[in-house]
Amino acid sequence: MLVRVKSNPDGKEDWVLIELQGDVDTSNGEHMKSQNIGDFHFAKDGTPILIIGYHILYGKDTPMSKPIAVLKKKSNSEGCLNEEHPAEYTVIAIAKRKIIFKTRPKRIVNHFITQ
Amino acid sequence: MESVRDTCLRTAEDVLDTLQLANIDEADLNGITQILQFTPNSNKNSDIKLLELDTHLLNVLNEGDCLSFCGEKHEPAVLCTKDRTYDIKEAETSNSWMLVPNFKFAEETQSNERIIERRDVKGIYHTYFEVHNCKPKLSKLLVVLEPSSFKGMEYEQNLDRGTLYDWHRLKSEIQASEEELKRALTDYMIINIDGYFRLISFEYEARALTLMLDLIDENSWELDDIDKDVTYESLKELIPWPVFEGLFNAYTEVSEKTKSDGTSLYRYNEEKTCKFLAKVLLAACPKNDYKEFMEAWRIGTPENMEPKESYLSGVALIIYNSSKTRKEVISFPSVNLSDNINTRFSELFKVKDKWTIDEITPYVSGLTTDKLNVNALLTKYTRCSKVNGIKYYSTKHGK
Repeated sequence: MLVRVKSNPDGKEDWVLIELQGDVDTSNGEHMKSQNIGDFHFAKDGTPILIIGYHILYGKDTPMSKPIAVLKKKSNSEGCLNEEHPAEYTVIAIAKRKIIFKTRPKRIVNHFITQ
Repeated sequence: MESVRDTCLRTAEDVLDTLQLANIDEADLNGITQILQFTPNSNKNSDIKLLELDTHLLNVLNEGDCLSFCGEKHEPAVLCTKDRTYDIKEAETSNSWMLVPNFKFAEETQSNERIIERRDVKGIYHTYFEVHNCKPKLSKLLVVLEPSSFKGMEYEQNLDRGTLYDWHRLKSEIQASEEELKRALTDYMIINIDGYFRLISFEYEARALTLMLDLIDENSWELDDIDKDVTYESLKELIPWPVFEGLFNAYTEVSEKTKSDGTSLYRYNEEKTCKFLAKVLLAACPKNDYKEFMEAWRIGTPENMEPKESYLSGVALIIYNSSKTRKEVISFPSVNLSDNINTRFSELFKVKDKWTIDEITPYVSGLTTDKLNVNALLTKYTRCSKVNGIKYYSTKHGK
C-alpha cells in the first residue's frame, strides 16, 4: 500500500513552531476557540517575549536542524482516492525556525504586589 | 489565566496595560506586537500530521517531489523518497508545539509606533513522526517472488499467474525506494520477463550457466574470447532472451578483445563463476572433506579458471572438524541468516568461535548503514583479540 505525500514548491508556507513547556489550557476549562492566548513581543535585542495571562516567558529563536513539515490529509470527498490509494497527504507548510520558551514563566502578579 | 478566558478582541491599550503591569518598558520592544489567538478552526488536528525532515527530505520537498508512506497493514510503515528509505516512528514531545502561520520574526517587527497584529494559531501538537534513514526492507522481496521463480520454459505453462509481480505490485508491497528496488532487482538477478519480475530458480541458473560454460570448450574459446551472440544463438531454444541477458550480464564482463566487426568480446568473471559452481556442489552436499571438495570444484570449473579458497567467502566456511580430525568445507550462505543484528552475530559465533575480518565481512556487510560500517559493527557487537598478530573477532560475552 502506498500513501503519497505531495509537495507543491510554490503552495507551501513557512510557519513558525512555538515550543512551550507544559500545556496551554483555559483556566475555566472552556473550549479553546476564538480566544486570545497571549501577546508576543520581540525585545530590541531580539529576545522573544510571550505574555500569557499573568505569566511572562522569555524565549529563544533557533533554526531547527530538523525542520517540521505539516501534512494535511486529503479528504475522501475529493474523489480521487480509491482502494489502491486510500489516503493522500499534501505538504501545506514547513516550520524551519522555532521559538522555544524553556525557562519557568515569571508571574506578573509578584511585581504587581511588590510595587 | 485571564487573557485566555477573554473572548473579546484585545486592543493596543490592553497590550500596553499588561506591559505596564509586567514592568516591561515599551521602549525596549519592537513596534509590532503579535497577538496569538485560537480560531474556531484551531485544533482540528485529526487530518494534520507533523513530519520531521532531514536535509535530504527537505530538499526533496523543496524540489516539489513526492514522498510516500509504504507498507502493508501489518507492517510498520516506512517513508520513501525516490532513492532513500526511512523508518518512521510516532514520537511524543514533552512540550507543547504551537504552529503559527504568517508569523513575523524579530527582524520583521520593527516599527516606530505600536502596531497590533493577530496571528491565528493552527493548533497545539504533542506528537510528530520521527524519521531515520534505514536500509530498504528487501528480505520480503525474495519471499514474495519465490513462488513465481523461473524454472525453465517447460514449466511456464503450469505457472500460477496470480503469483506474478509487475512493477506496480512490487513497488506497493516492498518497502524500498524506487532506486533501491531497481538496484536490488539487479543484485538478486531478478529478471523482467514479459513485464513481470521473476527470480531465476537456483536449479535453472545452474543448468543454464553450465550450458553457457560448456560452449567455451566446444568453440575452443580463450577465456577472454567469449562471443555473446554465438552463445545466445546456440542456447536460444533453452534460454529465453531476457533470462540469457540477465545471466550473461551477471557473470561476464567486457574483455579487451573485440570481434573483427568491432563488437565486444567478453570474459566470465572468475570469482562469480567459481562461486556459483561451488554453491552447486554445496547444494548437493553441504559438508565436505576439504581436499575432496577442492578437487571436485577444480574439475567442475572451466579450464584455465582457478577456484580459490577466498571465493568461498559468504558461501561456505572452512573449519577444522576435531572429531573427524579433518578440514571441512561446509555450506554457510549469508542469505539464510537473520536480519536482526544480535541474532545474526549469535548465529555466526555458534558456527565458528573466532573470525578474521575478511571471513566475517561478507556475513555482516548487509547490516551496515551510513553511520555504522563493518568496523563499527564489529566494535559494537564483538570482542577483538590478537593471535600471532592476526586480529580475530569473537563473541562479546562468553569465553
